Amino acid sequence: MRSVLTNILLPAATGAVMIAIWYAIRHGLSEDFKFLLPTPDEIIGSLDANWNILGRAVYNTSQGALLGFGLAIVVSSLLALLMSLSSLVRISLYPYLMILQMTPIIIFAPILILWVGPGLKSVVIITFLICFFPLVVNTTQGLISADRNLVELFKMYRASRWQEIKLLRIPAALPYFFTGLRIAAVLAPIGALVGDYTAGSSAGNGGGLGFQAIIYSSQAKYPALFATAAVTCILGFVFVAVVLSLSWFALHKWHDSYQRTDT
Amino acid sequence: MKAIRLLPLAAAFIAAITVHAEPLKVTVQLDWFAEPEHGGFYQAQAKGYFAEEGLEVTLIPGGPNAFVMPKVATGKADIGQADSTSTLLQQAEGLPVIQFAAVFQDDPSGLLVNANSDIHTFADLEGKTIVARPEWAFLEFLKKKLGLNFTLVPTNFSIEPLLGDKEGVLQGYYIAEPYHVVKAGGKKPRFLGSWEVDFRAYAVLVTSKRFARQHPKELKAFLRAYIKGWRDYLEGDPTGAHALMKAAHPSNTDEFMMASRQLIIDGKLVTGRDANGGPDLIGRLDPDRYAKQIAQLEELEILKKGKVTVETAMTTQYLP
Repeated sequence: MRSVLTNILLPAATGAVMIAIWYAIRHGLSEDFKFLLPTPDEIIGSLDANWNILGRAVYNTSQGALLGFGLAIVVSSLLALLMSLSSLVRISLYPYLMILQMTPIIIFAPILILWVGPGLKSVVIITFLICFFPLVVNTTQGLISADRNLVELFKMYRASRWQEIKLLRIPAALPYFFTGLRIAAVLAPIGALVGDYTAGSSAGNGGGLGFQAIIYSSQAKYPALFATAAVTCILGFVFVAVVLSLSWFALHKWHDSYQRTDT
Repeated sequence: MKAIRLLPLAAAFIAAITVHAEPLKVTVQLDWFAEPEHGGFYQAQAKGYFAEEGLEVTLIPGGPNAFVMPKVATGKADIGQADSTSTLLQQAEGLPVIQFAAVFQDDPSGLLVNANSDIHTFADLEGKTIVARPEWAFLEFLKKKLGLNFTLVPTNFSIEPLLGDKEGVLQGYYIAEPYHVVKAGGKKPRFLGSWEVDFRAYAVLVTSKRFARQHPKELKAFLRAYIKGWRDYLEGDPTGAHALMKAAHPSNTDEFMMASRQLIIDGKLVTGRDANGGPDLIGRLDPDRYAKQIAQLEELEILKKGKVTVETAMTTQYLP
């Protein structure tokens, strides 16, 4: 039986050891190479000094991530519904979904710049492309995985197609949907960042985190670059935390995965 | 008496050792493809000037991802080419590098404007979109000195914004991009040079402070060969350098290289556009110009006060 104290103390101790090693490595670097590893206090200092810029960049990147993520949820749900209706539709569409997934964003970005121009629009589309695939695959799988017996039961009671979808297939698909959503939530900030790095602009008062990363790295502002990494990581945590709580609200009352107590 | 007579012998012996010593391997990270802007390096290589100085020089062509400064600072390259202002900003952040010679007396980076647009001066850039390297210090300078607002888009190094009827504004070297625009069927773009608004940046050679400490003699030897290479490239027959450039960057054509070299000569980029310009100025850096630019950048708050001084930023001690 682990106590709450252990749950907090152990990670904290690991963190302390890692920070100690960090300082030790930095201390061991000769004067010529100190720039390779800024110390945590230098990073926090530069986070503070650059907060005007980084705060705006967080806002801009979150905007791209949220819009792309949202768009991916809507489009993938509709498409999954369509694909769940018939295996013929699935067979016709699936190869093209694969093609969309396989095209590397790095190569797609310059094409996107040509078509819609750099900036938020491109960032949203890139985020959408990155989030879309796990969502549509998982949701479709969920929609076609309703319990055979229950499907038969619905047929016996002459439920309409719509009733079957609404009352049986969608609830049954929810756990799958949330699995896809969790993957997509991790990918959304990364997608926005990649979009920002490859197709961003300084619009919105200085662009997003990816745009700032280009500037900080090429101006040798390495503490600020590390600070950008930290902020990006936190943004990722926020996205995942929100999705996990949504999933808990939707499923904890009835789904098996929330009934078992974890060991 | 005997000992004194032996001295010349000893000197000759030491000299013999030095001559026959392994040549020092020096890698140079260029900031762009092997094009005439690197003429000094390639001519010195082609004519064997580096070898004569006992150096085995490797030229690493650059491009969009040259990463000159991290490579020089970490020792993955010994010498690099960069622009003096960006280097000043990075030195202010604590990067242990030093500027030790000029490539161009004025950095030919400026803004290329589509000939069809109504932008004629820097003041016309208000509210426009500029495609450039986001870290380019000149952009901050424009914002603060001229009070301009514009949107910045990171360049993907395509000249497409300068073609057609677009209102494209693109960072570029006037000795390279305009040629390619005309070749691609566009009108020759207008060029707004940074020196027009009193922004005097050099294109420079940088090395790490560590390499400078360890190899002062070799740096001097390097510069002797480099400067000789530039002079020969500009005044003599550039065929040797151009052959090497073509081998390193096959899309070079003779026509482009000759045209670009001519623009370097006509623009006095290597020899200097000021009154004191001439072949003797090749490679030279002027500490007073640095002092002026540091003061200018500090005043505009582009550079934090006291973070970098002329002495920590540059040196002339390796120049011949």
